[in-house]
Amino acid sequence: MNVQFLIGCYALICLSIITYNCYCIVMFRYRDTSREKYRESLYEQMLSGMSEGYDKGYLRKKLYKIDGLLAYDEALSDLKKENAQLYEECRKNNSEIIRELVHVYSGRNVMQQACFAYVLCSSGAVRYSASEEMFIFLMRLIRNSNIYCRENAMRSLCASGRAEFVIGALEIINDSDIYYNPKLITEDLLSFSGDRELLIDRIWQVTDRMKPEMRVALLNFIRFASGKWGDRMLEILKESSDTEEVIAAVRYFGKYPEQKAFPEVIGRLDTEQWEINAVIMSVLASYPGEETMKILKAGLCSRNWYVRNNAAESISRLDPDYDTIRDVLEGQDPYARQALRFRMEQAMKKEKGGECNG
Amino acid sequence: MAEYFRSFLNCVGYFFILYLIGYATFLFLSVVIGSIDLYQSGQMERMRNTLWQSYYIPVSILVPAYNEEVTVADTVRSLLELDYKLFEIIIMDDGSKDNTSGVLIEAFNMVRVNRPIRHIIPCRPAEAVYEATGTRVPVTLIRKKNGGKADSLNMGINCSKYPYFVCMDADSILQHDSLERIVRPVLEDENVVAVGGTVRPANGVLIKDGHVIKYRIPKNILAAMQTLEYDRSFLAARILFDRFNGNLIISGAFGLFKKNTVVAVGGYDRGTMGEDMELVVKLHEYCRANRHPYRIRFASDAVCWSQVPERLKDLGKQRKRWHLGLFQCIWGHRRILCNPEFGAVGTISYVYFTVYELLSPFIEIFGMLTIILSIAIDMLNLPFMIMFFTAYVLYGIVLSLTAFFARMYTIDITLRAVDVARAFVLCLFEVVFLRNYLAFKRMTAFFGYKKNKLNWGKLERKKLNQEE
Repeated sequence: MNVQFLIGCYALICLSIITYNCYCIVMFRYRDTSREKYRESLYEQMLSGMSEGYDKGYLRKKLYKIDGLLAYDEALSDLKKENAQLYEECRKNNSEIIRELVHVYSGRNVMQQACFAYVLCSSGAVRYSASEEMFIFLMRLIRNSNIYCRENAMRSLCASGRAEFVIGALEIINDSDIYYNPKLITEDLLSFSGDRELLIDRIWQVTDRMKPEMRVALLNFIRFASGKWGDRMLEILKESSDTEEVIAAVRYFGKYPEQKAFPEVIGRLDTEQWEINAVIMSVLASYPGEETMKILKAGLCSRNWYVRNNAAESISRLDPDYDTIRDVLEGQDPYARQALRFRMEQAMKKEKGGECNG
Repeated sequence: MAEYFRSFLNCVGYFFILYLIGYATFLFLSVVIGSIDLYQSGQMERMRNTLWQSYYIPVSILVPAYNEEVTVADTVRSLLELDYKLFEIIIMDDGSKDNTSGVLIEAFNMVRVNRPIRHIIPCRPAEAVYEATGTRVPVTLIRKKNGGKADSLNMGINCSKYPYFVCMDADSILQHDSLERIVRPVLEDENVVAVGGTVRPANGVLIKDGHVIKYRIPKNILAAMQTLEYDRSFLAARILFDRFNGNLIISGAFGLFKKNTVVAVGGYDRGTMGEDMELVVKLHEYCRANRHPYRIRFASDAVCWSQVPERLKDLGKQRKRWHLGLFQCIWGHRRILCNPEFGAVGTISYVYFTVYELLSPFIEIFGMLTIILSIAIDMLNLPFMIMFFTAYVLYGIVLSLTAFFARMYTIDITLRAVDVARAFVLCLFEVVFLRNYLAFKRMTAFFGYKKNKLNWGKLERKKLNQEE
């Protein structure tokens, strides 16, 4: 009897889930349709230049609901593509309402707060309608354990173009125990809409306080963003004992070659860590010369596949004549021969324009 | 004598009560948790709670192919349309007897290259390597000596240049955003070593450039029933296992792996039929033995569309292979069973797969024989049996429908009224007929085991994206 009762309970719960799902199907369809209608009408109003004239009370009421907020964001995004001037006007006219919303959405659940952070970023409100309350709200979201919430907040802060808040957020992330992928941090920083050089300058002031993985993310950002920080990178290359940091610095000098960095770059070859050696082989293509060729040829005979492969690629990029590489191509090391031949063939194909774009 | 029989039947009765309570509870939890999870994911998606980065993790897509001249070029074309920046495609032609390589060489202007291959895990030698010209991302074809699917995948791993790889079938299509979604768990947690994607039956679906243009439950009844089965058994159950890092299977049709860790466990096992499950179990074993913090995740929103068999004979063949693979894996790693060292993997996942997947056909047949015995000695309570069977069928239908309705939260799918109506009827057929047929096929899987040990188990293929 108890078994039947248990199974009956299970079945009832499942039936209630089915009923709820059916309700959701109907509700979502209704909500999608009404959101779409509202987006269209809002867009029409915006496009006809009536943004100043439309009923702000009604807009406010709509924006209090998440669907209305998203419809507004979509309409604004459509307008941006269609008419940049009207877009700016609309954004300006609605600044006050958006600022009010910070208070409203601060009290909502995490998912809605994250959605609001997204809209602040995508609608540009965080840059043009910024308020202190808005930044407090975003900084609070950065502390949240939900990755999507944090990510939307971080994006918004970067879109604000305000270096001090971005640095503040980085410090919060650094102090927190929650995992934040360094790749995401680098990517977020690259979306910074303000003065990048100023941001980098502020970053240098805090790097010493950062955890190693955080420092690597910041160094990678600097490498992607600017080539003006050779001296600082050189210091890291000379002094750092962290493999990832050294790799980031070596890569920097691969992207922005500086002759004074060359001895430091090759000086790092002494290490037994193949990862560093492989990256060095790769960046040496930016430092043509006899010594480079000698090192690359030695790299071709390395026992490590990646070191060998990167050395071969760099040699092919240096485009040497046959005599320079004869000793390898006619030499005793079949692996070195094979790797170099393949890379030279690839380079020739590329020259002919036949290589794929990837 | 009658007393002995009565005691025996009582024992059998208690056993089956425990067995069914366990199974009913597992299915219940999986569809309920699956539904809640899908609902939450759907809500997150609606509210733009997602990662929108372009700093993607580089991925090599490995496509093992054997006699796939009909579908392979379309598959590669669809891969080239993926919304992802940093990836390469590697097709391993495992000594096909048809024109698989020829079709690819012609379709993508491929030229032969002398690319060195690093043999870090064992596989049969390559005969030739080709590279495509003029494609958006690098496309490589490796023609190799025949060695089976696992061997081909090992070759792909050896040849791949990126730190993560995706394995898939040559007759499948990845949804446009599937790569982006399958790498998200890796961005969320650096300890993720593998991620399984959702495999959905492609029969009856029209897909263009990775986007679902038209979706309906397949007209073919067998394919339609499998659609329901995939929702219940694969989608819901894997979400449940994901909760406690207990997934033992990542479908060979779509999964992402961290290359270093796979290499550390020796790659795919070339001597098994269920190389996909074998690899995942090895990853659990390796990471736990070496005390590596790790996660094996399931991404319900990363979708791969794959053809399911439309003929009973093909379906039977496929399930026999799966069952043999399951047996080889469970037996090969039997030390995990109930071993607390392996945490929930040993005490929940492994027990579930042993009792409710591997042994279930035997248990079910044993139950049937007991019923026959009861009839023979006139000890069968027929009204109770009918009532019990009816409850079982109704419960099965309710569970299937719960999982089926939860699919509405997954993107790119809208349910039509006709599909819902068909689902109601098909659930009944699936519970009453298909499940029993498959139980029988799984039980007989061991006949002819040696003969079919390492073949590809090819099924009849159709060109993808054809309207029925």
